[in-house]
Amino acid sequence: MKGISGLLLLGAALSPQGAPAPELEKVHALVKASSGEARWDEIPWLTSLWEARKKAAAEGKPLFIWAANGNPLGVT
Amino acid sequence: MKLLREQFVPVALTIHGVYQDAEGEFWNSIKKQCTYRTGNHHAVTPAGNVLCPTPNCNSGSVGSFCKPKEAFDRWTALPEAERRPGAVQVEDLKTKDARFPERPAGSLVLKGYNRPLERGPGGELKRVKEYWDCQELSPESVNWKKFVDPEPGRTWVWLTREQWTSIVPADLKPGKTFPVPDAAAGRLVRLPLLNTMY
Repeated sequence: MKGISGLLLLGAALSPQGAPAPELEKVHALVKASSGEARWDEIPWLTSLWEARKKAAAEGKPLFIWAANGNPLGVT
Repeated sequence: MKLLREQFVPVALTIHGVYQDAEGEFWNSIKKQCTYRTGNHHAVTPAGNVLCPTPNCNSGSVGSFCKPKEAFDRWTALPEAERRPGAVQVEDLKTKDARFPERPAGSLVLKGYNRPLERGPGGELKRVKEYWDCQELSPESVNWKKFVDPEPGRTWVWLTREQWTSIVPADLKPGKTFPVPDAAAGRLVRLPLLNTMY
């Protein structure tokens, strides 16, 4: 893949030696999801099936399950 | 989105294998009604009855998607006695299968993003407009796909208490720099360098 992978970690930005802060801020803005992107992330996903079942039973709601061999919310 | 947020309890699962506990039994009961394929959606009642996807529940196709509106209509068609809060009693898990990972006490989980960037004619960084990538589902199944205006991929970085406290000095001040211990640096810099866009 041609190009540069931009990486952002919220809450733990590392400043490589010599890289000015404004450059990092630009990378931050470019890599992070913009408004309208990753809409699925606006859903309050639980990550425990049993906790979800308990909550659904208590609140009288159905469960909506998104399951994958890797975590659908992203690699851990 | 509003329907999912307000009328369902959404849950995202990693299927490591079959849990040998009540949670595993519940998941197995769902799979008996509806073939599981990675990436699929299912809507189920707290009692474990599948609401969708139907009628293709057992089509076996990757990416069978459940339409929340259809699922909600089937839910509301059920008798009120089955749907009311507390109609199904679910106790806490008494035992959990110890074979599967639990988050360590005191740990920190950081949300990470990854996205391809490139340099423009003037050297400025910008997002890649069209991005080709290959998802190797198996040695025999290589799926090349073009992403236009790709959204960022997502990673989650787990740090133990020792690792994250090692990068938060006691005398934290704006502009302070210090060498990051190798163990923490490795997890922060190397581990998340995965392309999770697909």
